[in-house]
Amino acid sequence: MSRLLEYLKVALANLKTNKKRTFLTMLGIIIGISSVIMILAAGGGAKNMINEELNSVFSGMIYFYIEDTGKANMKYFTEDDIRYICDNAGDHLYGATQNSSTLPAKANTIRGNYDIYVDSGTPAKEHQSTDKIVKGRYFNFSEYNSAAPVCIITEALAKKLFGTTDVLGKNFEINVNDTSNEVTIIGIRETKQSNGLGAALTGKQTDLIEIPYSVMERKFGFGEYESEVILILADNEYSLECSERVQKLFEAKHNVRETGAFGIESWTDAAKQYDAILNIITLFVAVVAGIALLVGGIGVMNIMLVSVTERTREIGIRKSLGAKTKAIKRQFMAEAGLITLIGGLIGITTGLLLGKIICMAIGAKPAFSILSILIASAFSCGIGLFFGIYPAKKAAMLNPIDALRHE
Amino acid sequence: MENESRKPIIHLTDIRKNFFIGTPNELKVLKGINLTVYEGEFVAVVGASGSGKSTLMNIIGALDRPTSGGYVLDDVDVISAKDSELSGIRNKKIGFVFQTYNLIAKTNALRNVEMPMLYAGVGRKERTQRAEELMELVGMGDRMKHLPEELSGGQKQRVAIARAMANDPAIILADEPTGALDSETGRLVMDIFHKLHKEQGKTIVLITHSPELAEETERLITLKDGEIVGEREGHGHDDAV
Repeated sequence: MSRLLEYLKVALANLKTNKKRTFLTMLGIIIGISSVIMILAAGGGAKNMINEELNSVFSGMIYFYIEDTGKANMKYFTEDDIRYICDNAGDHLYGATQNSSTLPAKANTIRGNYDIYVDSGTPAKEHQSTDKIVKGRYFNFSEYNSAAPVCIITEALAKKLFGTTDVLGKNFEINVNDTSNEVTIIGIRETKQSNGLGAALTGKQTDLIEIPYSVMERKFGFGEYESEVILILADNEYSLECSERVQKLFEAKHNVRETGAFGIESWTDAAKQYDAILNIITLFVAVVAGIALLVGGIGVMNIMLVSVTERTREIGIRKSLGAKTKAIKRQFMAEAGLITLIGGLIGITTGLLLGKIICMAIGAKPAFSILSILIASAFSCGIGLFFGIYPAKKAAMLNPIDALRHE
Repeated sequence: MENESRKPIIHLTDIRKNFFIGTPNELKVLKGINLTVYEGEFVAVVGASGSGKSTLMNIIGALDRPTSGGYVLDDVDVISAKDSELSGIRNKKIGFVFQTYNLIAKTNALRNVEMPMLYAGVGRKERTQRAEELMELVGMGDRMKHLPEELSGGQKQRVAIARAMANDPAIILADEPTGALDSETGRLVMDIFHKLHKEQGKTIVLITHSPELAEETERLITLKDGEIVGEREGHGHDDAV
């Protein structure tokens, strides 16, 4: 142990005598390590952020679709089918809603004309978003059935249209599909602070109102019957159980004996695909950073070789004083190791810092994993030792006579 | 004879050293050297350049291996020693003093003196204490923390002598130790060798081409074209200096 300390001390003294060169050599390692850590942290952070964002939009949803219209004995889900699911939802399931598009619309208020978006569905749609209803309530089935012109508005849009969120009971005119109708606000949905990247990925709108699908269909003349409905879950954990239950419900209702009539796709399946893509991107960039690290390692080897040549005479002197081959080897290994160790430490710090800055810029929480730091550290030490071996061996194998004569 | 009762430290038998072996310009540098140096002796090896002095010194110093012949140093067979054992021999049995000092740059005088002890595995405290004593012995007690580049030639050589003494070796091997010094400084360095010889009973082999300095030793070995051509007693050295 004390011997090792001795080697490190001598190595440190040698590195100090050539500060500029030592630093430049370290720079390669610093850049390599910091990029690996930065990319893993920022990549992990972005992944978490996107997952969270996608989760807030898509979790709790199952796409239930007709796989084979022949076997299912139906071409699309009717109003009656959707109502049937809502009425027989059972545990952990709120019901179903139409897989309707979010439509662009115009809103007219005393403050002016605004571009907004309109979503429509059944009362079960209330639970599709994780954003809560903070004032008022969602529309119910009696309003749904009678196509009452009511709407739920987001906090953000309320502020935009009326300058306040105190808008319950207010009426305003919306124009969808070239048809204008007046709607009454009965509920306000919170607007969570959303980040740009996630919103761009999910297409989530903040200037949004929600109206009953029946209003959209009967008052605005925009109805589309789809071979797909969305099941709204109360608890993601029971997605399989719920979808199987709905499947059985429909098989009984439509007298389907064969399997393969209906299909399901849950958010978990989609999330896995997103994860896989993000993982591949992170891995790819990390590999590129790893190459930077490798180049840094070769830099260490290069400088150690130069150092061996420069210090051939010193090696000869040390050998004449009784330094064993092993001792010379260890000394050069200690120097290479120290360069990578210090470079590695600086690189880790820089990487963590840069990762944090990048995550702050894209609005994600950095995901620093101890494992990635440990791997990067081990890798940097490994590089130091691996690329130090050859120059160290070369130094150690020098013939003392030749080394002493070297000018 | 008086010599028979003394213990041989260096025992060379028929040492030969050839270079460029197997090529048309094969060079026979040492052609069968037989030499015995006894414990406590101060011996000078003299000869013109190209006579094989340095090659002989390298072989005695275990820096190089002879092509053939026998070499026993302080009861250790050097010929059969492995490389790692040669390092040990250089470390513990031999103290080198070179013409060009060969101090490690950017390392202060004291640390230079400590170095052989470092390789011998001597503990830190003991190492520093012994190095300080040796620096005092060569009259460099006030320049321990100086770097080699801050010292004059004579001062550097005195540090080198202190370093050669570090592990209390069986012999001190000095290759033209005054060759790069002016006569006054050279005198000072020679006096240190005499002091080590007289007061500590060190065995010293001095390689020089200066007849005057060689004359101060107890025995002169003359080398010519790789052979010992003469051997006689020196005039010795006055204590008075």
